Amino acid sequence: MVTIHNVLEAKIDNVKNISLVLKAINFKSSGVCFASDCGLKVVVEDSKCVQANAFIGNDIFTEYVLTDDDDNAMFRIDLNTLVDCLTIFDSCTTTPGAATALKLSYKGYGHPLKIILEEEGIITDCSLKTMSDCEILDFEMLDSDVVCKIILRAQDFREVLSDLDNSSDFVEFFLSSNSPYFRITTEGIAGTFQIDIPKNSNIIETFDCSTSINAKYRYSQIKPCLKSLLIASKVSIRTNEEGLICLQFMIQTESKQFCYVEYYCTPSVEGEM
Amino acid sequence: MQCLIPSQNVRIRGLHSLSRIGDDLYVEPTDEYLSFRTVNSAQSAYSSLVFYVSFFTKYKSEFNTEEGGKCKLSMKACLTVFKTPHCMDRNVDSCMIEIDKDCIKLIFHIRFVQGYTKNYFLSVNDNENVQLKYNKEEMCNKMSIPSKTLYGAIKHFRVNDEEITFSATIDKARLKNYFENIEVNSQKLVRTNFSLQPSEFEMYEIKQPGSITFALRELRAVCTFSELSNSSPNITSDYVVSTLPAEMMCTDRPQILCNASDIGFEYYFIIYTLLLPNASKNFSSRINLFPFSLYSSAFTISSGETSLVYLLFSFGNHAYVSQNNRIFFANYVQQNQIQKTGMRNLNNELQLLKILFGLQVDDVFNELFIFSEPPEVEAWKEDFFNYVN
Repeated sequence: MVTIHNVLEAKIDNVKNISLVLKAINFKSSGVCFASDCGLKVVVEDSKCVQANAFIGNDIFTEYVLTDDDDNAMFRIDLNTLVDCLTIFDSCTTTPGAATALKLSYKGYGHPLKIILEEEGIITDCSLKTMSDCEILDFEMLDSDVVCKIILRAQDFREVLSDLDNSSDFVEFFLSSNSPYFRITTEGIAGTFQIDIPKNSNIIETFDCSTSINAKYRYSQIKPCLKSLLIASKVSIRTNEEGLICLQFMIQTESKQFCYVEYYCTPSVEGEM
Repeated sequence: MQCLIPSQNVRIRGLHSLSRIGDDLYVEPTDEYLSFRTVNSAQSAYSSLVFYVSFFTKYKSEFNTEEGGKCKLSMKACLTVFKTPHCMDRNVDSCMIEIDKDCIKLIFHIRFVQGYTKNYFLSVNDNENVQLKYNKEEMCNKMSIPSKTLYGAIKHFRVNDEEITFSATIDKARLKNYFENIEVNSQKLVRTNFSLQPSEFEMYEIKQPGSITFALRELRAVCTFSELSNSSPNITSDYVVSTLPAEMMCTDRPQILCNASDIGFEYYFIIYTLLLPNASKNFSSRINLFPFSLYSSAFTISSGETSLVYLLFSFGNHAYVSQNNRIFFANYVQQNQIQKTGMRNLNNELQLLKILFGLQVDDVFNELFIFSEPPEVEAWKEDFFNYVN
């Protein structure tokens, strides 16, 4: 009998470090996982205009072994199920500070993703079927293309966005090197709402804008990124000349390490309304 | 019109309280004040929030004509401005309200301490206003109660209690839940009675003892306001609860008026009371023409054991029982019998009343009326007797 070695084997002490991040991008039911030497990347897409990437660096894991150098360590997986499995022990224990340990293993193309979770001596064994369709869009935004870049404190930005009018179909971002610098506009049933964030506001850490950009995004496509904003500590917003927006969220895990979620959204074309 | 509200004044959650009443918000700026008003769809409750110039840091109204500046907006839209009040409490630097020249948009500019601004451009639906005429001086009963006490009393009532009866006599005030259809499922009903002593009020002036029934939901809205505004220390919110004088009571539209005021603003709140269905309209208006003081001529029977006092009076062969400021009468009850029989036998008679008028026996026994003025019985007796016959 030939034993097949694991292509990927990863261990983590506290599963919450990654389950929180995966939850934040779980706005569609399936996602693609890529394993590389740097760590895991999980990609979720919606209608070919929205893409969310979660980066879980190998330092998050206590043990991270990738033994294959082919492209075999990539698979599509049902994200809902994966998140359900990872959170299976959530709110089960009453012991303060108890953490669930996780062991992930994947044997390569066609094999299921195996998950073993352990908390206080109780073990859950999961096996998730993987799919092979790993095609994803490439929203590359080179540094040279970026015309505007803003870094904000996430907690304050969350409060800013907390009352975005959800009856509005679109969210308009206006970024400019002059006043009003950063304006978010929604137009709903109740009327027009505008949020102005000036360059010198203390929620902005960096404001770097070379031209004026005005772009409209569908509210339904911007909305999923608010989930990531909830757990993030910092946000970076970048746009290129076409209005493609990239929101990067820096998320601090329970073990005080950092994960990153990147969110791309294409602007809605003028006249689409 | 343009006005600026300083941060500590933004905390008054008047709009949240108004939103509990009506679906539309009427805004009217004048030279002296800016008012927000609402009326509920059944038109049984009206609320008005008036901010005087002193409430604002800056106030400028450019509307000269009578009609100028009046706006009707959707309440829901206005609430979106104050969607996250807790977070606003901490972070709001100032709030500016603006109405454009043509009265098409009402604009809120909210500045936050962090430096960002939120601007809300709300569309005006109509250029109209509501204004209810009332005269505080005409109200004959005046009570002022700390909002905390009132809230404490109201919270004992169940969520599904829809109406409440408030009765006031010289030495006691009572809140009681009211059931329209007492016969149906009377076993499942929970009766709640809450008594308040005059000492619990800050002011207690009862000229005409009586009782009124109105929707509890609306009183709860008043409480919300007081509860929230209590969080800012410079506001005292008291209620003047008043019933209208007798001649107005015969229109079957007695009112309860509550107001809370501070230097900068005034909050008015009017609830129309219900016409009790178990008294016909003519009857009740007619009866209300008699001042309550005359009832003292009636035969008051009290039971030593339970120390319950109820009012019973009679003419010839008729006996009458009063309940909530309305009189129910029964030909079947003999005056002499009532005087002779004790509590237990009286129950039988009262059962008759129950059958005749859909009264719960307990209702009759629980009513408490004490009247002290000297009677002018004879004239009244004659009048009443003529009416009954």
